[in-house]
This record gives sequence, C-alpha cells and structure tokens, in this order.
Amino acid sequence: MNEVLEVSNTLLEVTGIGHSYHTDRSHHRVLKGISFTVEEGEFVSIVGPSGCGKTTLMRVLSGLMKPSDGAVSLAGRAVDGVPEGLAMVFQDYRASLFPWQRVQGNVEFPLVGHVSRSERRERAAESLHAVGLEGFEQRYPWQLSGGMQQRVAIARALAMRPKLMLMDEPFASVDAQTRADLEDLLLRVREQFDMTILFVTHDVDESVYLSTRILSLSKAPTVLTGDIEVPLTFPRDQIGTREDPTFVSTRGEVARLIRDASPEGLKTHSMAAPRHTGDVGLNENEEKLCVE
Amino acid sequence: MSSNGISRMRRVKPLVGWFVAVLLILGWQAWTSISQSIYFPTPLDVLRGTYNRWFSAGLPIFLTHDFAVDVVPSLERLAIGLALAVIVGVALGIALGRVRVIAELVEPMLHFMRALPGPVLIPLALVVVGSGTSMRVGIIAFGAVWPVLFNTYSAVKKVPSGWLAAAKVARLGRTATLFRVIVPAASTGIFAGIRVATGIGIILLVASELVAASNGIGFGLTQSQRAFQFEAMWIFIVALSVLGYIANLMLSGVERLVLNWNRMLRLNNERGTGSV
Repeated sequence: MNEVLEVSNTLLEVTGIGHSYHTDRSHHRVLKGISFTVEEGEFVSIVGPSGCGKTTLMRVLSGLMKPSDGAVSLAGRAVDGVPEGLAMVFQDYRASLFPWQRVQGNVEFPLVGHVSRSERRERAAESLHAVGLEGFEQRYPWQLSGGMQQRVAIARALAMRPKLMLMDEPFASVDAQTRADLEDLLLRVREQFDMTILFVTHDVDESVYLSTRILSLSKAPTVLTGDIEVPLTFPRDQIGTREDPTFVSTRGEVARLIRDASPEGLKTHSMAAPRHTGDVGLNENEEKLCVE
Repeated sequence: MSSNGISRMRRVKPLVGWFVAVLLILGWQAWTSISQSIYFPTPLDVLRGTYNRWFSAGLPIFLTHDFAVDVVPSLERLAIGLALAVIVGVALGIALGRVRVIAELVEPMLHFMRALPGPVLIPLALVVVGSGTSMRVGIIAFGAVWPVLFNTYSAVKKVPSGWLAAAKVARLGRTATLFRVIVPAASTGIFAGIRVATGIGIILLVASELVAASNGIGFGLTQSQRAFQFEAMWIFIVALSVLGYIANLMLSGVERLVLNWNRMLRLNNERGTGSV
C-alpha cells in the first residue's frame, strides 16, 4: 500500500543516464550512470564543480538532447523530445527572450496555438502578477534590467503551468541583491503554482537556501556523489535561515561533498568564491563543449 | 556622448544636409546658365522639361502618355523583378540556413553564380528568352537575388541557439518555429539584403533596357542620346536618381513598420541605458 503511494508520487525518474560528446579527434565522456528520482512537490538542487555535466544533464532531462545511454521519464511517460508539463528557465535571459516581442508576447509565446486567446491573456496576467511585473506588459525585454528580464523568463515558464520546472543557473548573471530577491520570488511562486523544481547552481549557499533536497555531482565524467535532504522548514528567510545551525551544517556537508569530488577544483574557485565572477569563463567553456 | 547631444545632432543633421543640397543645385544652375555647353542644360530647364514631358496632362491624373511609355514599364519590371528576387532569395536562404545538406550541396555553386555580373547574361537572355519584359524581369531578379539569399542565409544560421531551445521547450512545431522564431530573428538581416538588392535592381533595370527595348527609362536614355536631345537625357538621369531615392524611402517606411523594435533597440543601445 505504502509502496504504491510512493510510486504514484514520483514525477521524474532518471535511470542510468550516460553521455559522451564526440569530436573529430576526441571523445569526451561527461555523464556516467546517473540515476535518481524526483517526487512531486520537491525542490531539488543539483550542485557540482564547473564542467559540462550540469548543463548537459539539464538538456537531457528537458528532452532537448538525447543521452547516449539511459532513460528519463516524466510522470510515468518516457521523455523523447520536450514533454508536456515541463518548463525551462535558462541562465542567459537575453538568449531566451525575444527582442521583437513585448513582455506580453514573450510570456504568451509558449501558449500560442495551445490555448485560446482569452486564456492566454488571463495566464499572462496571472504570471506577470506573480513575478511582480504587472504594468510592464507593453515594454520590450531589453528595456528592462537583468533581474526583471529573468522575471519575465520565469513568468513565461509559469504561464505554461508546468508540473516540473527546470532551471539552469537562472540567477548566475544578476547582482547579489537582485539574486536574493529572485530566490525569494521563486520560493513564493513555487508555493502558489504548486510546482516541482529542479534547479542547477554552482552556489552551495543558494542550493541549501532554496531546496528540500540536494544532489551533488562530480567532475566529468560526472557521477552522482551525494543525495542530501535539507531539513529546513518553509518559509525561509534570507537572514534568519542562513543563521540557522541546520543551514550551516547542511551547507558544510554539501561543500565537503563538492570538495571531495574535485580536490583540485576547490583551489581555483573556493566554495565561498564570488557568486558569479570567477565562473563566467568556465561556463563559456562549458557552453562550447556542449554545443560541439 | 550625452543623449542630449545625440538628439541635437539628429535634429540638426538633416537640415544641414538639405541646405548643402540646395547650395549644390544653385551652383549647378549658376554654372550651367553661364556656360554655353549644350550638353549641360540648367536644372530649371530639366525641371520644366520633366513637367512638360510627364506631368502636363492636366487634371485629374497629370500623367502624360509619355510617362506611360517612359516610366511605367520600368516600374513594373523593377517591382516584379525585385519581388521575385525577395521570394526566391528568402526561401532559398532559409533552406540553406536550416538544412545543412542543402548548404553543402549548393553553396559552392551559388558563390560561382553570384560572381557573374548580371549584365553579362543579357546577350544570352536575349537569344534564349527574347527581348520581352520577361527577359528584363529575369535579369533584375537574377542579379538582385544574391544579396537577399546570402543575407538571409547568414542571418538564419546566426539565430541564437537559446531562441531555438526556447521554441523547443514551448513545444513548437517546425513551421511555427520557422515563422515565429527564425524569420523574425533573421528579419533585420533579410531587410539589409533587400536594401542592397534594390540598388542592384535599378542598375540592372537600366542595363537591360539599353538593349533591344522599345520603352522604359533605359530605352529613353539611349534614344534621347542618339537624337542629341540632351535635355531629355538629363530628365531620364534625374528620374533614375529620384526612383532610387523613392525606393529607399519606401523601404525605410516598411522597415519602420515591421522592424520598429529593432530601431528602438539600437537607439536603446546607443544611449547605453539597458535598464529602467
């Protein structure tokens, strides 16, 4: 009885994912035997040292890319192409919002052809309200600040009413204050829209602050090195939660996992490193490798 | 530079431009009135001649029969030729940009064909297609298609992968992705191609009308030269530059309508204020 209940609550099931990139000269293995499940309502962060693993994993989970080995299933159905009920927020909002469309058009974009015009209006209004951007419908994205643009991207994802929202380092290119605001906004809309979230970050603090559970990955070839429950209650508070001894101990646990996964990696960018500066170059490499 | 400085520059620049143009025409008028050369009529004479030749039919249409013979056929050829160039160029450019196999197969050949100057084909086209309107339209289309094609091709290839990923996540089909993401994303590049194509089209229009024609601006130009009607020659020359100017104005109008976001985006970036 108990088992049956648990099975029905599993939203995402990842079994034995492995992936290699092949170029003319070399063959680069990035993922190796990754398996985990995500239950409905969880907020799971994926952390790990920089390298191609995280972005590749996200692309595989979203159905944007077929893995060399293994399978993904969402709500019991095998993922082959982007499945219904999935939304994704990318790190670079400039590369996902369309400059020729106003905020309204950008948010309604995934709904055109799927739902009626009046429902599109309604959902866009609701999503923009949720991210605090009502009144900006007729602006173009490039007329807004970086943090606001990322909120538009989140509103677009919300308008799809996803069961699962994948976020690939969504707050990596905004300043610290904006980032804290966006983190709290994300926790609010998660509650409001009743979503399951899978969140990639290289920031240990952020992962502990946001998540109910953290998965840690190693350097390439990437394997799963840890699966940690975060025993913190909601709602969370930027100052209070971060002072909580549980936060501090969990943060230490996760950081140790990452250090053990890449002993030499910690020297180049420490766990308390600036949140985005040092990693930008590495991320570019990651991107390049992924594109190849 | 401050935004104030830019806006002042914007207001002053066109005025100065017009002032210089008026000065030049006055100089031309003065010089041609003094010189007795029959090859250079005064601008006033050219203006009067233009009015008499094309616009003196009186109310309600103004346009004379000569206008229908001299200008209308040229406008038709240019419009049809350019329309063909745009349709074929955009379609082929998208196909090349989206399907790598097609690009690999035909790109070298296209570069070879592009290297061929349009007028070179006129003698061949005369023999094969004859001296009708279709020959001239074909020459214009053939010469003007290349900038549209290659601009579309490179713009489509450069569509950021993030936008395509966003389309996939929104579960858009191939057709929807083409019309809702790829074409808008490539539209600025396509438009730049159309601009270049229009200039080439006008050159080829005249070139194609210089041989075996019975009407049109190019024909009028050679006819008046052979008849030693130098004022008429000047009428055709000025008419061509006016045609180019109007074509450009029309393009700018369409661009303003369709790509207004891009103009605003550029202004936004110039000011360097990306945020509210």
